[in-house]
Amino acid sequence: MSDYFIIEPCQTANGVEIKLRDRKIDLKKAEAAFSMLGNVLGCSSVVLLAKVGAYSISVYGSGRMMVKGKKKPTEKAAEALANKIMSALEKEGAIY
Amino acid sequence: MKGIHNSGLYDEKFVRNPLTKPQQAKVRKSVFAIVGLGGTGGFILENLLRTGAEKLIVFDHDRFELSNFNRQSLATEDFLDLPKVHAALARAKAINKGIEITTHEEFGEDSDAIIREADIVLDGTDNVKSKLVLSRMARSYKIPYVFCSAQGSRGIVSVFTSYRFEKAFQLPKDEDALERYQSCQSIICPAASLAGTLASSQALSFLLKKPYAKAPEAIFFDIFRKDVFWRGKLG
Repeated sequence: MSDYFIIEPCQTANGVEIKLRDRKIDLKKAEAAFSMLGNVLGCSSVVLLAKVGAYSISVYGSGRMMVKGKKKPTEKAAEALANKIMSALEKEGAIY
Repeated sequence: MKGIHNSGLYDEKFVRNPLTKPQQAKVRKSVFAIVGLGGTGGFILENLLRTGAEKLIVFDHDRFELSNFNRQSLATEDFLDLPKVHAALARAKAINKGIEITTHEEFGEDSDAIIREADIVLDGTDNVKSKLVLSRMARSYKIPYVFCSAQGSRGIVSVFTSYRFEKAFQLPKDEDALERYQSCQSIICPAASLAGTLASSQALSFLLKKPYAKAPEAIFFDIFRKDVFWRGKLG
């Protein structure tokens, strides 16, 4: 069983949601992780906004990550992206 | 807080409404169901609260995110990443502590037991499939369904009492094909708020026995057109 699951949050949005399984994200540490993957556009106490490749990602402390692009990522692309993000977050100790 | 004290506050809060006492009482005791608390639903809620509605049932499965902020009245930094129904509850209680509001984080075909409790159903959903389910549910219980949709700078509002939603929008029989009706739409706040305002006004007109756009008749608007509003027929 993986540490996350991928869901389609909104039927009209070109995106997917990556949700951690019973774990949260330390946004301060996540900033370093996302800086390695792409650009961090902004960060507050509850949300971090990053650009990774073609996708804009809103990362919430609750463990929810909204991934949006001009086109909805395919299941395969979403999974590859999720794995990439998870290993970067784990490397920075951003998951707890 | 109920009883005489709350009643006194209620009367003073809504004394400026251009409604007779029986009309205000009708608004107060009617049960409004709002499905979807996003762009249009948030403004529907605000209008009903400000008119003195005191019995509400609200549905939304979603949480607020940054991309909601351009048009969703309930989206604030305090409620970022929190369920939209939490924001609706807080907003309702902030305006009227005497309100009876029930919140639901799921809406589906099994929500009919809740919907049947409503006197009128207002549609704040953003996809055709949910609208279809909701309209059918309302029709099966003979509850008026206020259709509301906004896209870009435009919107449509209509009250369905007996006319079939499928016919109004010429939907395909294959309901899986409804997926192709779904696409990422941009909406500007004045269009969302206008659609929500028209939907709530049509609901009030229906309940107060005033003229309303009865489907297939509908009110159309485009905030960027010279003539912002026009009436037309669906179907």
